[in-house]
Amino acid sequence: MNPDKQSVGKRNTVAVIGAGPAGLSAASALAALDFEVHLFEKESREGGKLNQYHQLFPARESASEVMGELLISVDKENIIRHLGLGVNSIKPSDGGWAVHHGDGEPIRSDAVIVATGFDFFDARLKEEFGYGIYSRVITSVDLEKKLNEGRETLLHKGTDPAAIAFVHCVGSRDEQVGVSYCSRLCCITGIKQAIEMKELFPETKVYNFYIDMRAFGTGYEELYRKAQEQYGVRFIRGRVSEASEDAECRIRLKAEDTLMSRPLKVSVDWLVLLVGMRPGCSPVQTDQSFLGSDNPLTGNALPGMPGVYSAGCCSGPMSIPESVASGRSAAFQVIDHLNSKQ
Amino acid sequence: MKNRFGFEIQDNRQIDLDLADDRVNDEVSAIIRAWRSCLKCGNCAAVCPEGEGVYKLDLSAFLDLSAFQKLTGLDKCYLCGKCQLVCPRGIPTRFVIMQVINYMKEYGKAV
Amino acid sequence: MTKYWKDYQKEIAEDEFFYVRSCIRQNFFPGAENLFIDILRNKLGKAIFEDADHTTCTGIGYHSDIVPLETIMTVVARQFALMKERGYKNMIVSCVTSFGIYSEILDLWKHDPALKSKIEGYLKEATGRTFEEPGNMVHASDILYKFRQEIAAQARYRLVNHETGQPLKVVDHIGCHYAKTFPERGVGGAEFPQVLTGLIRAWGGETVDYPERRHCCGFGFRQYILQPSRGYSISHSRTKLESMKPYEPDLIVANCPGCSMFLDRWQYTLEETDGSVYGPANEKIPVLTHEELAGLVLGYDPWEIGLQTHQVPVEGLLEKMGIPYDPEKKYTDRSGRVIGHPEKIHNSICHESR
Repeated sequence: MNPDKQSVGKRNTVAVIGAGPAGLSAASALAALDFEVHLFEKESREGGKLNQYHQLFPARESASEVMGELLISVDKENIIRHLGLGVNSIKPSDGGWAVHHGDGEPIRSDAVIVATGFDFFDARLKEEFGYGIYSRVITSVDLEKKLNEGRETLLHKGTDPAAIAFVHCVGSRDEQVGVSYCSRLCCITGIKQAIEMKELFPETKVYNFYIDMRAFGTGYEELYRKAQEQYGVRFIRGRVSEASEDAECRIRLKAEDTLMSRPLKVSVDWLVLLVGMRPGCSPVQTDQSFLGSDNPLTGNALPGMPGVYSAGCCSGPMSIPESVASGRSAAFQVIDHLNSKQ
Repeated sequence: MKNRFGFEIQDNRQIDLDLADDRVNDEVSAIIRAWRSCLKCGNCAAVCPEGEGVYKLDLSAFLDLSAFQKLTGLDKCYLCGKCQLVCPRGIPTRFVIMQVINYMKEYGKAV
Repeated sequence: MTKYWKDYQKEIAEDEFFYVRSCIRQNFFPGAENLFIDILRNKLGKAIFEDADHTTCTGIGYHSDIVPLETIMTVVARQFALMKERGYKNMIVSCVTSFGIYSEILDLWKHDPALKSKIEGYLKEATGRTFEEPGNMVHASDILYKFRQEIAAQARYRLVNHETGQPLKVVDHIGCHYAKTFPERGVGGAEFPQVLTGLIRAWGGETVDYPERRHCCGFGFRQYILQPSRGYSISHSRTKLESMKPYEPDLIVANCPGCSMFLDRWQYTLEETDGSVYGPANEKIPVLTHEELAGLVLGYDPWEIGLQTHQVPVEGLLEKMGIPYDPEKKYTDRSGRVIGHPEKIHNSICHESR
């Protein structure tokens, strides 16, 4: 390697906005090459959405263990963490960027990686499912939390649930809520959570209501088959039209079984809505949309902002390994960019 | 059956999963585990000379097992095995059909 | 800030209303509309006018494929023309199907101005009239919703069991054409409409949320009108009644006259068909329209507002609410003359509890 190019790290500062999996892996990669990294995180701790999960698909790794590994990777003296500090905007400054945050003078950096992540779809917008109205209607995110808290949180008056239903595509592929894209990861989440429910409650009937099963990733289709064959999860193709509460506070669903061409009704103890991924707020734009790229097939450079790169879900739905890879890729692109400027 | 006003009040054709009779499905699945991995892709129906589909044997859709046999055309099958050749999940569909026929007899509804 | 449909409030005018009647409401619930007018004029002090020249909106004909779309649009245009000629801008529609018709036509004209011009031409040719779209067009239940607190202030009775002090359990049923077609035209949107729950709660009752609450009553016009498919219509009412039964409702209130008629009449028919009864203590559930509910709460005499014409007898409800009534006067007119008794209210199948 050209020693001059390698030494680009020691003289440069990079700001990473967001300390989720993408931001952490970008910061770690840059720090390994001796950059000074300013890592901003608006929440009081690192990790982003990873903090909310129980186990990851498809191999059921513990989210907290993965979190631990990522945190170790950023435990370096050249990563300066700014926790609880959001970034308001970034402005061109002296060939680089001034990062304006809420606490004092802006920090000047040679390049910026935006890793601000995503928001979950607000399930209350799908009124017909009764989220926020009926207590036994929860989202997949709520379920991860309950899994972390323990099996008892899913009991009702001490008894095991007799039936649980999952609804796919809540807030994705749905013109009624203005979201036309597929959030990619909800189907595999539904498969994983269905298996988790069957493991906790083997006698419970578990139904997954889907439109299309998108089990595209490595190991995903195999997990789908395992859910059916080994665990007996019933996958029903058809939308749920409404959820209402019956006299015992169970949730009664109306759906269509399109493969049987008949309407269907079932009573469940929990209705889990697999919510989609929406673009989050980021300091580089005024509207809330996924960040684009100058050259989408080969890189993450933000259009019209030289030296600014996106990483992770702020540019579209991604899984944890995809976010981590995206972070490292952005780090490399920063290095390449700064090398070419010399 | 018409009431005394001259009309009949129809029953709901809705599948009530709460009342589904899973006995035959469970017993067949216990023997042929792969049966549960059916995707209802329709490949079996596409090749069936009788135009039926093994996927229609998803019994929990039917509450009344006696009506079931007429609805699925199980009596038309002559076990040619074309469905088994094409199933993408590798389900031994001839075996499934034979098991279902056995269990239907056991539950008193002869094929 | 994110807005949710169930919190949605629409604009409802304050005063100076042009009222258009409902075919089904005035035929099956003959006291209801006069009651509504009386409440608005004499209890709420509002100006409400009904034009003797106004007609049916022809919604029944349209939904039964007898009246073509252009004809109904011209009839509706004439209603608007009458309103304009009388100098009114705010319309109150008595029937929910009419309300749906007016909403649909206004929406069609909004998206297709050429169509509207065509109708202007037809109306001019047929009647010489010109029209203007109403400034505000709401259903009668919206008006009661808007003034529910004023009515509560004048209430003589509340939706409470006067012996036990417990609120009455009231099933509210909203006609499909109120908000399902255009959610922005319904208070609370399509899934959780609030127009009747608002009334019930303001007047002391408790609403019942049962699984088939959002289900259509089955009226459907072209289904119900033909005997071969009538059973299909009624099967929907049955689905609703079966679903609400475990909650032991004291009362059903519906804002659509067709729905009120359905839920009232078919309890009798269903019992004749297979002996089913859906109310608590093996009794049928009384059904009221929104103005009849307001009328009872305000202390109008039950027979003067026409409750004797209901298929399901209301006496049980009156007793629960502590409303006095004179059984002798049930089938007499104002001069005291007996107008005749119905041959049979109760079913041929006897119940021990009676």
